[in-house]
Amino acid sequence: MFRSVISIFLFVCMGLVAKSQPKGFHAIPDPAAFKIKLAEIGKATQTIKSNFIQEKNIQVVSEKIISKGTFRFKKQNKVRMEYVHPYHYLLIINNDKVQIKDDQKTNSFSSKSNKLFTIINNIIIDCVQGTALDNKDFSSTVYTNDKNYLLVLKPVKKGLQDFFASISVYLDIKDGSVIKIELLEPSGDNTVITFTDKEINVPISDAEFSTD
Amino acid sequence: MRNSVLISILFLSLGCSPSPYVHLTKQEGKAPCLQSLRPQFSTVLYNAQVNVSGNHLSGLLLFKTMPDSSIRAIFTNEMGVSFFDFEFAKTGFRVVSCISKMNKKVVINRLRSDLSLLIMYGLKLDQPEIFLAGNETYYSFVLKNEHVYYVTDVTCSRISRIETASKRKKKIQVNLTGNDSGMPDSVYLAHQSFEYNITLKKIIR
Repeated sequence: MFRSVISIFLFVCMGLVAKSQPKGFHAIPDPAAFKIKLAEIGKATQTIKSNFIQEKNIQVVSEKIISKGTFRFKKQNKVRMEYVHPYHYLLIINNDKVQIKDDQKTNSFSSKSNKLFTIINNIIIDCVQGTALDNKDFSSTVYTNDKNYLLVLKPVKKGLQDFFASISVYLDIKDGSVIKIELLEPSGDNTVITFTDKEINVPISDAEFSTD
Repeated sequence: MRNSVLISILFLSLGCSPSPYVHLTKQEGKAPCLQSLRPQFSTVLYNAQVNVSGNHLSGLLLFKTMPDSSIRAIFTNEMGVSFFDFEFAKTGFRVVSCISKMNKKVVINRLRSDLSLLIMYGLKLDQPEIFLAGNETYYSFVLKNEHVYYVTDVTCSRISRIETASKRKKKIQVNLTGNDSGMPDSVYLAHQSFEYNITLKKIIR
């Protein structure tokens, strides 16, 4: 009888663990070692140049909005994200300064004044610089499989919880670079940004991080 | 002459002006054609720019006709974060979702009214008053305390603009281009009494 109860208990526990883990991933055995590895990779990454495809899935109306563009990162804290199809939109973060250029206007403001716009890019910066697990706005869990690391970040503050249920960051297990980011909204809609044609530590001019 | 001056002074002193629609001539017995110009579409995506009192916001506005013939209007920013999802159904208007910063009655009602103009929501299209002015036909509807005018050419082949007005002044003007079928290619909606305008440009995917 006792054995049966233990067996059932273990079975239920295994089921819960399996349910909480992303499909195809298992919990990383040594999170502390991973954190050190991430920091080392970040230290070695000076620049990233890549393209990206963004897919917004609006579940309830079965609609996808796909956009494409280019991504640039340069140490410290410089990001350029330029959407070129099917609309033009440019977002530049240069330390505390944010510039947004759309069809009508170029706006400049402090990153402290518009948190939403900078969250996504700060996550990328955090991942690239190896500080993703230190972000106090999120609780984090790390998973792995034979190809990727997966960081699942859950917002701890109410303001962020309005926008995101979780943010999943997929890293290449070989070089630690960001492969894709999935932003899951409370409604179940999600946005997946996949980075392609990555070039690490190639020269990128500072002029790329300004709309001037 | 003396009377005109007195009338002008009276209008000025009351802070009002004669209706901008006094030049319209009412047409009796003209068959309404607006029903045929109601936008028919499956999905339309716009690049949207909004300017309100010195603040600028941009994003993507998706209109989709659902299988039950209701229309959804979903606004996201360029990076995919959803701002609102509205449903315009025969049974009524519903806020499906809205971020807390925008989820205020005055904001929702304003957006609801503005978007309703574009999709001709909440109008009895077969019961307009019809007016003529030059080469244009005005199809007029009364909504609460406002008049809504859909302005077409004489042959009623396309809607060139939409206007709303109180008894004395124009409140909103919406200029449309490229709306031969479905939703217009571009929209410029401007409130006349305060700085608030919306520009939409259709995105070809």
